[in-house]
Amino acid sequence: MVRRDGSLLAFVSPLVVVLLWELLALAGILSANYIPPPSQLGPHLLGLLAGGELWGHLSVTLYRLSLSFLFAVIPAVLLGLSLGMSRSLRLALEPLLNSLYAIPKIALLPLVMLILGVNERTLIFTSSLTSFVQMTVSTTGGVLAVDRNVLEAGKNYGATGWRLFRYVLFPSALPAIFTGMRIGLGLTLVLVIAVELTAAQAGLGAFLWTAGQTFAAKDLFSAFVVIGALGWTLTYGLERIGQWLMPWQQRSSAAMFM
Amino acid sequence: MATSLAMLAAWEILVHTGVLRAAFFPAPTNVAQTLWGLALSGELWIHVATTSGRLIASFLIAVIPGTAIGLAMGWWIGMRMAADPLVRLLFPIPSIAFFPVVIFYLGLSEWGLLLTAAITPFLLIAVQAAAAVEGLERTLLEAGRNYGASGHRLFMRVILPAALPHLFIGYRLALGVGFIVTVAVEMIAAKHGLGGFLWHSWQILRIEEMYVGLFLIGLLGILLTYGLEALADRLMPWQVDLLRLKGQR
Repeated sequence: MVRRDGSLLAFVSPLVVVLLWELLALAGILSANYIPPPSQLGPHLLGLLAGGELWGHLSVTLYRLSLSFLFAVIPAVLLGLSLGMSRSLRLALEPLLNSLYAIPKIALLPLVMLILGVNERTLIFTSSLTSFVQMTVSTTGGVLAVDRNVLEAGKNYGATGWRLFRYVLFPSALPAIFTGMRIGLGLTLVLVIAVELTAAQAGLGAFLWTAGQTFAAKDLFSAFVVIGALGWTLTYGLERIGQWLMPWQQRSSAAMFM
Repeated sequence: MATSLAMLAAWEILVHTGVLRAAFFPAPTNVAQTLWGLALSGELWIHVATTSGRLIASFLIAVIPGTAIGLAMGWWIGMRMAADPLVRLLFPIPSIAFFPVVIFYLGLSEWGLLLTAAITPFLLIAVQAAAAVEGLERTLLEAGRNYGASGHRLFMRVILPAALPHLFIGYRLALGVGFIVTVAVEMIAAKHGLGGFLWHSWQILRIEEMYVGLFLIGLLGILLTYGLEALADRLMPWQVDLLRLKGQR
């Protein structure tokens, strides 16, 4: 009951903002050329979607997003698990990872372009860097945070090697890995958009940039809404999936930050 | 440290033996020379100062309203119901996507850069401040009230000190995000600043300078990340675990 009230209330203030926006535009205070009212924006967005142009950009961005994430997540989880289990590997690689962690990865774009050339590979590789580092660090953290008692119990029941990993270590580290993946996917989207704004001809970021530079206010807002919707889906959709897969996990508010 | 030094040494050797192409991977000593030259000519300091200045300015734009709104959201349920959905609506939008929209209105001005770099940090700080007040222990508030604190005094003497560690987490995360957005925005659209310098040197293929830009951005990032962590340890030694970066993300 409380929950339904809460979720209903969640729509009130955005709705008030939209209504206010529309009213201000009707009253002529906001110029439609600068800030198109929602009543014009909606049809324009639908028209762009129906015309196919926006779908093209959206699919390019989704393609980059999924490839970048895939290229990041597999090596990151493998490396993170190894780092969590091997102390010497940690000692060797942690300084490097820590310094990579602190660098804004978008700054590596020129270097990657220099080495790989200005092409699709470069965009995807650069977009995968942030989430790779982030997921490696969170997976390592997840393994390191596994309760010693649980490990001891597993060993005492005779689990060793692969079985210890498969039935004790991995399941215990899984929530942290999943949280890392969720944040990593969000970060990948940020990087994909940033890279597209900087150096791409197609994709939502490029479309957004062109719309802004050509003073096409409706295109600008439409692209922004689509990028926003993508961000919401990734953030809240994955939160839901996480709750569904691991209902015993409390929703951590800390995971929202990034 | 040992790993990094070993890698630098290996890099230097590989360049001199011709395994790594100097056109792509200039030797660390060459990069250091370029860095020294830029430092002497003063150009380097302009970029460092510009980026740091932008970072500080956008942080200030974010921190004051962010803290105020966040604390109010945590304290008054009405404020929370009004502002929380809006924050949750804006928060997942990639911070950099605000840039074309902001400069559409403000033009390619300094304000455009600063405002873009302030948006996500503002939201982060607000969320964190609200959570800080909400997470306050009721007993603490009760005790404060029983000792006669109310209104202004309750806020200054009880709520704020108790919320401070959480606020600090928000500030640190906000600075980190602000730095990333600042560099990205500079790369896209600024002549000055480390991001602009990096992008410009790539475009005219001054590779050593590009590495200098990368190095300085990395250095600033490391200072920001681990410097603030050390500062937090110093200021609030009892909160060590709370402020560890990696536990957070």
